[in-house]
This record gives sequence, structure tokens and C-alpha cells, in this order.
Amino acid sequence: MITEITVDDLPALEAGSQLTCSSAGSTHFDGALANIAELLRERGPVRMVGLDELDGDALCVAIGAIGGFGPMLELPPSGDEAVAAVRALEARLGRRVDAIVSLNASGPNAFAPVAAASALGLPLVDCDGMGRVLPLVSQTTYALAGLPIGPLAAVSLAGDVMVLDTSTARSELLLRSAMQAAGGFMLCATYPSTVDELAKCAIRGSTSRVVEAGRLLLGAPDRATLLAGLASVAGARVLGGGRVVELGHATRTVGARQYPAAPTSVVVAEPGPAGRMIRLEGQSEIFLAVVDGVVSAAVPDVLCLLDQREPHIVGLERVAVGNDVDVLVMPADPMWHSGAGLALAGPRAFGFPVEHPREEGAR
Amino acid sequence: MRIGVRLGASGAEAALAHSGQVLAAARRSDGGWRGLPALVRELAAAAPSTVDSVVWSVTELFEHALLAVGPRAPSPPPFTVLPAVPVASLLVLPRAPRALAHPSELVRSLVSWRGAVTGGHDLFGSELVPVDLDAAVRAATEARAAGLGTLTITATGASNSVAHEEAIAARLREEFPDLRIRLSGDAGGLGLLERDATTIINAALLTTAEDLIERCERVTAAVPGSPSCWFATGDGGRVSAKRLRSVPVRSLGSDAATVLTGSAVLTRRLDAHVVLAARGLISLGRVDAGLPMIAPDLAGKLSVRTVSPIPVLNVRGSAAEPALAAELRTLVGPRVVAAFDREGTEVADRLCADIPELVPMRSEANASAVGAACSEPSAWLDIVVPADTLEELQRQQHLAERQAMTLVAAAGAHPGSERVISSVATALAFLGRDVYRLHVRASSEPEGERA
Amino acid sequence: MIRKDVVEQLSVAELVQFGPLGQAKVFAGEELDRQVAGVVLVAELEEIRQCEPHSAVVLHGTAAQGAWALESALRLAWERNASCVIAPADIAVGNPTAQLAERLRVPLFVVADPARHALELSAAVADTDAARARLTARCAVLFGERGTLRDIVGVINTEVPGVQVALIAEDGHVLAGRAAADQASGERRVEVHVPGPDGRPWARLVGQLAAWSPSWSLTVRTVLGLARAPLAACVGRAWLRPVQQSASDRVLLNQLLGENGDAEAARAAGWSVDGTHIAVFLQVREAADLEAAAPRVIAAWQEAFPHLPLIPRGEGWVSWWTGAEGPSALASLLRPYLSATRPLQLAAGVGLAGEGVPGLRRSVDEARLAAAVAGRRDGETVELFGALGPRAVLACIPVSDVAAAARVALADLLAAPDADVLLAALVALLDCAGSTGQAAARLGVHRNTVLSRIERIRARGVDLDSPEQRLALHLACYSLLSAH
Repeated sequence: MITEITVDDLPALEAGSQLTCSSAGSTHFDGALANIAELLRERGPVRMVGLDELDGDALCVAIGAIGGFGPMLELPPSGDEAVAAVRALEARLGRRVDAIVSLNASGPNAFAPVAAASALGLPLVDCDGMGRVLPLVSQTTYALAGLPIGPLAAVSLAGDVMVLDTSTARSELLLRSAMQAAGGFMLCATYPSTVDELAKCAIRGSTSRVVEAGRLLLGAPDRATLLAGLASVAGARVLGGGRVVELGHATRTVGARQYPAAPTSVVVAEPGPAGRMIRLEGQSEIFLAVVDGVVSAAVPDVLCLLDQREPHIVGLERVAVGNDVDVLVMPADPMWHSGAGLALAGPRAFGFPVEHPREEGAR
Repeated sequence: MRIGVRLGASGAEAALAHSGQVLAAARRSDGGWRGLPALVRELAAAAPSTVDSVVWSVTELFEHALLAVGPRAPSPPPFTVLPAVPVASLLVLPRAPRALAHPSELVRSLVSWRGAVTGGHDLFGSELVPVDLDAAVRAATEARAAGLGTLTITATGASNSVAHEEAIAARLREEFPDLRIRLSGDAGGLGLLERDATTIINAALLTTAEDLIERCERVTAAVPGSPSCWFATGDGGRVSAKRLRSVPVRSLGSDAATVLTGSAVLTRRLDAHVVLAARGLISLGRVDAGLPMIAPDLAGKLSVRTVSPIPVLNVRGSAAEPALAAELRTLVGPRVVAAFDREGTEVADRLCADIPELVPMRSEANASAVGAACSEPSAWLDIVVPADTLEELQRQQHLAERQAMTLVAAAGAHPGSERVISSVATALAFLGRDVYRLHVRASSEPEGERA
Repeated sequence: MIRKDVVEQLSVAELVQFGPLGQAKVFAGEELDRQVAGVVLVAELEEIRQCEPHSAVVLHGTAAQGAWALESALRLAWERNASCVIAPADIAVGNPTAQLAERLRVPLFVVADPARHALELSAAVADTDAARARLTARCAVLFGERGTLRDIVGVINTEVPGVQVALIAEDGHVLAGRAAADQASGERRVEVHVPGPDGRPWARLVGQLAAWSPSWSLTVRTVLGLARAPLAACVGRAWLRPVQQSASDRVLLNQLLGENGDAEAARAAGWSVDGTHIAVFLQVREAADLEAAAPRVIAAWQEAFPHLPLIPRGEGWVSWWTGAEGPSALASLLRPYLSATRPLQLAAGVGLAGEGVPGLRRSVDEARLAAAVAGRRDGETVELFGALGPRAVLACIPVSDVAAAARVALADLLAAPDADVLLAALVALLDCAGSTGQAAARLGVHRNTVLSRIERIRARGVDLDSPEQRLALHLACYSLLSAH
């Protein structure tokens, strides 16, 4: 059990955060991490707690950015953006926030809450609401349990602060427009909830898992150890592996334009005459793995590409024809496998008219 | 007929090649610059026809010049080079970052003064905040007071709008006519820090490059037939002396690139996994159609990410040998091993005994010199474009490909020999609109394939 | 969903050949011999799970929303043993998808509008006969365009899906095509004999069917039958040119005799167009196989009248003399030719003399009518239109229909033990306008005999005196005699 995040944990946090973020993969957020490291050096380690360690009526907000990774590369967040957001939200709620939870401890959103907790001097709760990256802020286990997304506050990298108080659906819509106008990135403080409310719907141990996975990616002496470690930490299994032979953006799914995500198809060809063809379909994130025409894995389970030479994830933002990769699949949190969970974030939610392999297996 | 020359700590290695065939090789470990004319003349004399170009691989010398500034300056190579000159660096952002210093230790060592002024654009080209020109003037005044003659300007969003960088440059040129200014927008590419590092390295190497390139040009000019003078680049291609003077950063990684391509040429395996074995280190790289697999934003030997692509090398300690052997057995297609010293040869011998398919590179010629000789003019483009439809994306990709081919032609390629090696569009995630990052790699046809 | 179950099934290859998939881009095209039992229009992938085996699966809607869906469909189609998958062209089929189709051995067709194709395919699958008729016609056209044994056999091997054909000499030597075809046995073997230049058996055309059904076997037999004449025509050099020539002559003659007769082309071909023409029309008796008869008829003609073209037209052949003495002179020239074509029985008609192209056109029509009348007689006969007069009209009477009616109307007469004798007497009497003397002379009997036969005819209820009955009676008798 990890009880604090220090500046020395940042490399592991960064490496581990790739695993459940098939869009960014190993994109390096050196600038953002340098700023957070500076923050942790100034303020000391961030205290990390379990939900059970806090009072039931303690107020938490979920910290996470919406928007793209490109803007973060061009303008690295300073790490203290959350202060303005949380203060604005506190003013709206008329109540101090007691702890920070993660919106989704994946990709850069794994370290944004760490920075927020540090800048605000609050404990970080070791949990999140997705266990992966999903395109909408409303695609969370928090929302699945009926927690409202707002009131919420958002801050742009130019310093604009916005507070929204409306329904979850309209919040999503308005937030997206603001995010685009702000240059494709906003840090948000959402789902203000008490510990008791979160207890029934948070995915626990998220940040710890990220750090553990990161340590494996950074330190495993060989590939077998790495894969065995990822299997035990995240339930990861290798679906197959080979060379990327096709990369395209032609797949348009029905209704998919409601998502702020771009379609990408990747085909991985296993070597040899009997090698299978693994087609991955996604919108920014990988959502579907079709092996020789059989839907073998699907969102909300996590799919990602692991480089066959280097221990890092090859993101859809960086993948190129000719890359040698393994396709990893990791089960989503059981909450996502419920009927309501699959309705919110299963393949059909993204316009892929197929059953999730689990539904099929259940027939 | 071409001559490739690699200059490094162990001296000069040279090779004469034509149409992918190595005709002669020579080396000289002493004598420094003064010994070079004789070495190159020796090879030129062995050439059955006129030598039309000499390609230099000088990564190690530039690396030395860069590290000479820092705390861990290496011992000087047999070829004297001028050390890099630290520069002043200005960031243009909506607000100063918490960590103002660049995360790379090397880049920090090259920056004597650093400041930030407000300004910048977002990824879509919209202005985030107005640019503060007065603050820029104040910053430049400080830098001048610190005795710095070169200033780099890196604005956020300069990959899509160079307006603020150019506005500052125009104002500063009025105020400080003798100040040398370098803009990150000229380097292109996505990523503030990557562009910043690229611009700073280029600026810091200006005098080094001037001196080094002129020396190489003089040696080249002395070869009968007055061949043209080229420099190997990190993408496995080459650029003209004129071009390298303004972008010496492109030379970084050329030693790895030339070693990979040279190994491929010498073993006649143009699509291969290539193992490079030397004391304490084993690296695994890949060559496709005679060109190294490359990527931008790689940290490389100097642990600094630039926008200039370098070969993808999986570097491991020698303890990883058994794991590597197991991995090599599972790889598909040709596999090559090249050794660079006695320990490396032992590793190569063991691996070859273990894996029958593994082809050892055995040659008197230096792989890097051969790779340099066999390199072709090249270009790399890294741009971000919005495209709402697939047709628009294809149009943008086509434009980028044309642009890359034009760059190859401008670099001195034989007219009509330009070709696109790879053209990749990746969708930038979650921006709420369809924005793509385009990577185009272009090169000239290899010598032997041209009529 | 459109589905049609039929006993007779087309193969995928036939659907390609017959049209519905002819323009489609095809992947995994090595597996086209499968039968197609029905067509299923699939809007959702799940629907493929309910497909009958041997369906042609047509994708649209969400089942066709990208390469991944197409690959899933291929896989499901494979599981359901579908015959092929048809996808819309807005899915870009890349290498991986093509490779999957090949590995699963599921033929994949890419078309612009799958829904429209589904309809066309259903129609083709439902109306197998029409589709096969088109194939037969197509082969016939192509046969006409080919000039060597190898090319003609090649037409069958390339055009007729799932069939391998070889032309094998009587001594077992393979003259053209794929020798493997001869290994076929049982119902998968189709064989027709090909006559030689002399009309005697010369070779066999043997086909091997990849898939069998009674009507498909029949279609293939028809196609092979069609190939016989062109093949025979190729055999001997002496046969070769005239038969091939006749195909193009037919077109030329149509142009010449058409509405806006094109005389220039005919002149260029060396035909005599100007002057006074007398046309001759030849017709095979007993409705023999025209195609098979052609080489013999044409070759014999060339031998007898080397300077005159003999041109296929309708149910026979046309030629004409320019500046000839007259129709009767031609008749005597023609008679030896007609006997030279035995055992084939030819009837010839000769038109009146006519001036220029319009005259020729008329003369040809007259000759054809005369030939039709001649064809109603036994033996090799020549009829002159000029001698027929209005009788030529009789050539147009549908004798078999009239004869059938006559058998009912004159049932009593025909029931007589000597009905033939009575009928001949009745016709002679009617022909001679009731003159018993002339009728007796014509029949070669005594006038009393004729009178006695008339009494017996009356006794059988035939009223010879009623004017309004006479025409009908005359027609009935004529038809009965002609229809024999």
C-alpha cells in the first residue's frame, strides 16, 4: 500500500500511467512533470489515503483534465491550475474541499490529481472513476452510481476560470465547447461528493496500481518478468503481437461524432504464414480488437500496444506502420461489466454494433 | 563514386563506395585534421572514376562540443573542435512555468540566461494572450548585459503560428542589431520543450558548426574532381554543408544511423534487425529498405529530446545478452550483428554460434563510413493539421508529401529522384475536432537505382 | 431480408459471369464454385448468425460500417458456410481484409450499391434459367468471334464457370482444352460429338462440371452443342473460310436488304448489286439443326457455284444470279446441287427477276416463300415463285394448326379405310375447280374412278357443292397433305 507520492515516484507514475492510456502511450510530458517535480520539491510528498481512512462526510472533488495531449506538449501545465478551479468550486459550494480524488488515473490524468493535492495541501484518495481513459467526463463509475458531475469548475492554460452548474449532459456539452475555445485543454474539478457517496462507486487503489505498473515498466529485467508482473498488477494478457501493417482513420461509427475523439484503425499482423490479423478500432483510445474477424476484446476493457523491444506503450498518437508491438488486454473494473456499465461505455456506446465478449459468453 | 568519412574519438575512418558496393577503405587514428587530406586522397586515388561527393559523419565531434560546456566534459578527440557557446533563451507563454529551466541537463548547460514573457498561441493557431514586446526588450537587455550574443525564442503554439516569435524578433532586431536570434518556429515540430531544445542546440553550435564544416569543406575541395561536401544526418540521410551550418542538430544521431545503414550494406541485408555490440553495451536497431527506423522526440545518447529524428535503438547492458539471444531467435526476417571492439566481437561470436540465422558483419571497412558514403539527401516533416474529412486529410497528406519531396530536391537531390519513404498521419486525441499530426520522411533514390 | 430457396442453384462464379457481380471487385476469387442457395441482405452483423448455409451475404447499414465490420462479417459468413460476402465500395478493402477473405476462403465482392445488387442477385438466383440463357447467348456470340479450335474451347473454359472442357479426337488425342476434363465421369461428365467436315463423327467435346444440377448440366450441354458447328468449321481448311465468311455475310446481307439498304458495303465485298437479279432461297427440310448443317450446305454450294456467295438468312440461305436467263433455267442448275447435299434434304425457292437492290429485296422474299412451299413436298424440290402465283400465300399458312383443326372437322372422312385415296381425290378435284376430267388426268385414273371416289366422299358427309364451304375445305385438305 502506497501512502505517499514523492518526487522520486514521478517517473514510475508517468510510466505506469501509459498502460491504461492507449491514446497517448509513451508520449513524454517532460514539461508538465518538471513543473510537478518542482511543486513536490517545494511542498514535500503528497499524502495518499484510502477512502476508508477519511470521514464519511468529507468532501472530495475529482481532478482531471479534458482535452488533448498535444496542447500539454505545447504548453505544459504548471501543476497548480487546480488551485483556481477548486477555490472557484468551494466558493460556489460554500464549503471547503477536504480531499482530492482522481477523475481517471490514466495518462497525464494520473499525475494531475497529485499536483492538485500538492498545490492545495490536501490528501489524495487512492481511487478513480474510470480505471482507464474514456472520451467523456460523464463516462465514470461516479456517474454510473448517479453522482452529479457538478457543480464543476474548469481552468484553461491561459488562466480562464469557469464554473458550471447544470445537468450532467449539458455540463459535458458546455465544457467541450469551452475546452475547444480554450485551445483544446482544461483542467477540471468535478463530481463534488462525500466519501460516503464515493465509497459505493469509486474504483479503488488506482494510483497505487499505476505506480506499481510503472515500476515494472521501468525496472523489469526482462520481458517475461514484465508481462508476468503486468498480469498480476492489472490482469493484463497478451492478445497477440506482430508488426503494424496498416494505420488509417476511415472508420466512422454511427453516432460517434458525439465524442471529442478521432477514429483510428490499426492492423497488427502476426508473423508467419499462420499469423493472425489483429484489427484494432478506436477513437483516440482503442475500443475493439477483432482477431481474424472475431471480436476478441472490447471497451470498457483496456486495450493497448506494448512495444516489443522497449518496455513502453505505443500510443495511437505515435503508432506508425512498421512498429513491432504486442496487443495487451486488461479487464475493466467489474462495475463496468454490469448492464448499465456496458450501456454507458460498452462497444455499442461508441457505435460499434457488437456485443461485448462478456455478454456473448453469458448467452 | 562517393567517400564516407567518420570522425570520432578513435580517429578517422573512411570508405569509398559506389552503388552500394564498397571499393576501398582506410583509417587513420592520429594526425587530427592535418592527417585527413592524405587519407581522403588515398581513397580518391583508389577510385576507378571521379569522386562526386564526400559525406562526413561528425556526430561525435558535435557531441564533444556540446558536452565541453557542461560539468562532464569528455577528453578531447584527435580533432579539435570549438566548444558550443551558451546562449540566452526566451520562452513565450501565457505565464512563466513553475520550472523555468529546461528539464534536460545538456540544454540547461547551454543556456546562460533564461526568461519568459507572456504571449503564445494554441494548437489551432488562436492567440492565447497578447505578446508582451516590452517585456521581451527588457529580457534581451538583461541577456545582453550578461554578455550573450545569441538569443533563442520559443513560443507556445509556434508549430501553428509563428506570429509572436516573429514579432519579438522584429522588435529586438531594431533594438539590438548585432544580436543573433533563432526562432523555434524554424525548427518546426510539436512540443514546446522539444522545439526549445532543438533551437538552443542549433544556436549554441553555430560557431562550432561554422568552423567544423569549413575544415571538412577544405579537405573535400582538395580531392580531384572537386566533389560536393555533405554531412550525414540522424535520419539516415545527408544534408549539404550550407544547410548543416544553420541546423547542426540534424547531425546528432548520425553515427547510429550510419552504423545501421553501413551494416546493412556490408551484409547485403537491406531489411534487417541489426545488433550492435560493443564493450558494455548491446543495441538492437532496425533497417528497412536500407534506411534506419527513426522517430522524433527520442532522448538518444545525449538524453535530450529534439524535433530532429534519430534512429530507434534499443540499448541494453551486456548482462542482457541471454535475453537478447532469446529475442533474436523469435524475430522474423534477416538479423545482422556488427561488433565494434574486442568485447563486441566476443558477443557477436557467441550470438552467431547460438543463432545460425544471425549474419555477422565482417569487413575491413568501417560501417559508419560506409553508411555515410551510401546516404542520400533526405527530409523530415512533422506538422499538425486540422482535417474535418478523410478527403481533406488525404489532401493535407499529399501536400505534406510534396513539401517533403521539395525539401529533398532543395537539399541537392538528383532531380526526379525524390521519393516518400513513409507518410504517417496520427490523430491527435480528444481535441474535440479532427487534428492530425503528419510525419513525412522523404529521400532521394539510392545511387544504384538511378539510371 | 430477401430469401429465395430454389432447388436449382447457381454458383458464385455464374453470378459473376451472368452479370450481377460482373463489375464487382473481387477478393479471394479462387473459391467461386460454391452454389448460392439464396441472398441475404444483412443490416446488422448478428443477422449473419441466422443465415442459411450457401447464402450470398450482402452487407449494408451498420454491418458495413468499416473494415472491422467487414472482417467480422467474413468470419461469421465463414462460420455459417456462406457462399460469398458482398460489401459496399465505401469500405476501403486493404491487404489485411483481403488476406482474411483468402484465408477463410470466403469470396468477397465490393460493389457500389449493395442493396441494388441484393435485388439483382435474388432475381438471378430465382430465375436461374434466364441467367443461364444469357450465358448461352454470350457463348454463342463469342464462338462466332473465334477462329481456332483452341480459342473456341477457350471460350468455354473461361466463360462457363466451374466447367473444364477438352476437345478430344476419336483416337483419344486432346486437340484443345484441359485434358483433365476427360477424367470426369458420371453426372459430372457432359459430352457431345462434333461432326467432321464430312458429317461423320470426328471428335468429342468433353466437359467436367465442378457442381452438378440437372438444368446446369443441360445448360453446359447446350453450350457445348453450340460449339460444334464453329469447331467443325475450323477443322478442314476447305470448310474454314466459307463458314466463317457466312457469319459476316449474314450481317452484310441484313444491311443490304434492310430498310435503308447499304449497297456500298456489299459492293465493296464484291457482291453484284446492280443489274437484274434472281434470288434463290435454300431451306433444310425436316427442321434439321441449322448450325450443324451449315458447313455441309455451304461447302457443297461453294463447289457448285464458286463465284456466288451463299448467305445465311432466317431459316435458310440466300444467293442470287445477276443477269441470268430466267427462273426456270436456274431451277435446272439448282437440282444437281440439291442432290449433292444428301443425306441432307434441301428445298429451294426461286424468286422473280428484279432490278437493283429493291428488286433483289423483292426477289429474295419471293424465293423464301417459294422455298417454304417447296419444303412441304417430298424429296429435293425447287419451286418457282412465278409458277406458284398466289399459291405462294400458302407458304404462310400455319399448316400444322390448320391440319389439327381439319382432323376434327373431317373426322368421318379421315376414318375411312382408304382415307388417303379419298383425300388425294378431293384435293385434285378442288385444285381443278370441280372438273372431274382434269382431276382424273392429274391423278392418272379414269374419270369414273374419280366420280366413284366423289360419291364415297359425299357419303362421309363432305358437301362439295356449298360455295361457302369450299375455301375452308380446300385449306383443310392442303394442310393435311402438307403436314404429313
